Amino acid sequence: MRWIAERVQRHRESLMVLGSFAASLLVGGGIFALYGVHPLEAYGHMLSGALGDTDALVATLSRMVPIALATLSIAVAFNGGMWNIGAEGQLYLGAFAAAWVGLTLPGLPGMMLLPLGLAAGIGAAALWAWIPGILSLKRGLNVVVLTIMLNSLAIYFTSALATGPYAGTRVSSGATDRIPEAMRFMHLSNFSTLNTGIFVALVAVACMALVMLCTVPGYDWRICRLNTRFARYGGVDVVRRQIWAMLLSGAFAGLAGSLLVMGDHYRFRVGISPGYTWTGMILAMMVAYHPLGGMAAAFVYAVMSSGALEMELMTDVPVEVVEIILGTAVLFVTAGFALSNRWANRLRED
Amino acid sequence: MTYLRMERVTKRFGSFVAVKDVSLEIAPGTIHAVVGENGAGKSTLMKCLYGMHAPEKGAFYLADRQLLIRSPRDAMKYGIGMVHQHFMLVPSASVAENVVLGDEPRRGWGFDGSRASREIRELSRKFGLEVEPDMPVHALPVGLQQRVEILKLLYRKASILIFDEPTAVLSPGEVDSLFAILRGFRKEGKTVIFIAHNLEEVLAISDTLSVLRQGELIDTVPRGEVTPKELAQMMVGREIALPVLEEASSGDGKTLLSLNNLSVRDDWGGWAVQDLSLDLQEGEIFGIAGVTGNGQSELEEALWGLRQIEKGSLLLDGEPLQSANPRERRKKGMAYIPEDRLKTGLAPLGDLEDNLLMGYQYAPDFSRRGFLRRGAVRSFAARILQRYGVAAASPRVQSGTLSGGNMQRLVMGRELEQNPKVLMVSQPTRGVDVGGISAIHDHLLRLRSQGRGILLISSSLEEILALSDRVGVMVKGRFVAVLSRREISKERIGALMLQGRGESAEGGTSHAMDR
Repeated sequence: MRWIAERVQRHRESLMVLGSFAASLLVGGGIFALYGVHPLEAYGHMLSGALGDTDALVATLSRMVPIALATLSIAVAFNGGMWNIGAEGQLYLGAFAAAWVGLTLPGLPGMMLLPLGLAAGIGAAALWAWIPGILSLKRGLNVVVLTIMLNSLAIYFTSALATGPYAGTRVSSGATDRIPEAMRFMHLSNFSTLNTGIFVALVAVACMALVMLCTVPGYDWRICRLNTRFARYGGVDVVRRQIWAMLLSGAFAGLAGSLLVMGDHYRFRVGISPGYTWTGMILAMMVAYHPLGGMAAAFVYAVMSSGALEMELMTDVPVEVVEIILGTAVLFVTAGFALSNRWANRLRED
Repeated sequence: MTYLRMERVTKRFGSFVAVKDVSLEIAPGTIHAVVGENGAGKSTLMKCLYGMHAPEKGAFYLADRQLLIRSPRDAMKYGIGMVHQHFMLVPSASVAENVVLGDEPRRGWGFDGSRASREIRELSRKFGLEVEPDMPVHALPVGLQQRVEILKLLYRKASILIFDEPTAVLSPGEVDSLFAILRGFRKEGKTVIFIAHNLEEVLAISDTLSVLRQGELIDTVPRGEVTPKELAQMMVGREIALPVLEEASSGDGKTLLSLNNLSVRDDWGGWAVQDLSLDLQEGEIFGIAGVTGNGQSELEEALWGLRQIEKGSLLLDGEPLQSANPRERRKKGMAYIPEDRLKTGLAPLGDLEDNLLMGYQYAPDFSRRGFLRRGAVRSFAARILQRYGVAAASPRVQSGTLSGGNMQRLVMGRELEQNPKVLMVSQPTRGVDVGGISAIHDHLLRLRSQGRGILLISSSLEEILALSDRVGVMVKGRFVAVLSRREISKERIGALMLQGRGESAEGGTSHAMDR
């Protein structure tokens, strides 16, 4: 008994997330039932549509890459107490910067173009995150407001470039021409845009997770989020830590954008991200900014959204149900944390 | 005459029995204190009466009629109200809006704001609770915020007022005015239940005392029939002697920390500390006495590098320190137990290990090439919890769920394990019970006997008197006097503390009260 209680206490956050997710699946089941579809049948189609064969699995993984990077981008910032709501704009700017390298320096060899494209994408996005970061840390401006405003600026600025000076000549409007072949990440199958960029993403995610979970900066970030004043009192260089959280968050958004250009589409286009970082924000919050939890959540999301197509085909339940399930899960997690805090306060004898 | 009666009340939390079979009788028009250590069940018992907890067994009677209380609203209906230790106010709303919230006066469909402030003004005048109804609550000092809480109860016509450790957040002057208010209630025939663990205060204000220990009622006694010492024994269950410094240091030791003409600004740009100088020697406790709000908070922040030192110099072992950040200060052998544990000393939402690692994470014992050494952190945490007697279910619970005394032990353990040359400690026993106080004082005296220097900032005169080799009395950011142990007495320091108070903000409010 005691052993179980201790385990529950130690893993209470993960248990809460898993429980909330299970509960939201039940709610989803209820919705399926309303459509007159057996919940298990609907979920069955979802699973087979996402993981049923190699092609399905590849499509799911290709969906997962930008979502996973966006989730980590948000997780890094939020976990460090920097509310970076501007990852979407950073992603767009990074994506365009990568495309711009390809369009302006087409003659360079791949050995140089590839790293240059990545560096430009990551660098531009990180810089775009640095601006609100430094303004908030040094000048006390509100980081949420700043980052939201910078979103629109970046998205419309890149749109203007892609429809104006950099508009493609061999493509319908709203996109640039293709980037040179030398800087493309090779597609791994004919049925999806999954490409070798996934390995870059994998390495980046692994490094970041290691830093967040096992190192001193990771600890400092967490404390900055929990209580900035306590961190400063304890001797943490809060400004330096938090500006790095912002830079890395921007870098991951930029990497997601660069890979979309250099791996998936081979060009920049208007609306290149259907709101990946907003989804990433939901996923990151759902797992309380845990990097590995975030990756698991991104995988589950990819499975559900990619499998939803087959589900819709077979059962007439619209794909949007996936969003409902996800939203419910976030709701449950939030409620769960609030409740557990309340119980903790009750038990406290003062 | 019995008025309010509790019969065999029992409340459990899981397997933990917080209140065990307690029966209590309270006479009308009296001030009845419920005392006990942290975790004795005082608050829990009162929360049962107020409908915040549902007791497993037992009943409440008012004038021999059984009460049906399932929520605070029910309790209010019977005229029972409670002022919580942590205020429940809307900071941006005005005093009047806070008071009437939930029972607003209306004009047609709308809220009648002018009637609200008029009624609050009358009510506050009647009970001597001077507070401006149209001020936003966040602009008020703590003492006045508490009055808003009290007004909430009076507005709802409460006749039994429960106060959960009301003095824990107040400065001595504010305590005096609160007591004047409580006596006023008694005169009006209201009944006051006063939860506390500070013996001096309890004996000063209450007519009857009930002592709880580990959830059980030990005894109920009239005030005149018990000495502070007996009371402390009843609370703790054993004899306790608060440690006192026996012999003052010779005063010719090496200087560890020296402040030379230090000036520091407050948040609004005025001077909080002006031209303050002192030399802290090894093996010495230097007490800084003063009514809260005379620049102590700004001074401690400045000494720790959280606030800029505008003028003057600060030397540790003869080396300049004023430009060092907190991390460098730790490295040079300084440690700091801040006044506000929840805001500065802890991350309440982090677990105990997170909280104990702070300040050590850069040391080679705890991290290598940037990677944390989990095992070392875990055994370090276990050692501190054990050595300093922090009562917690596991090192993974959130530190914010600990009781006040245990939080203080946690912060204390973390800072003392650093083995500092100079310790700065502020209000170390605020909100800590008798048993805890003696343990904390023991630790400070032990550190002193090891030749370390301690800067003790406290608004508790007893604490300053018991521990200090020398005392600086701080008024409006300056020392009005620095006394050696031979020269100090309670009366003398008390008189010095009040010098020039008439013009200060603190003094202003309490004088308004005295009239």
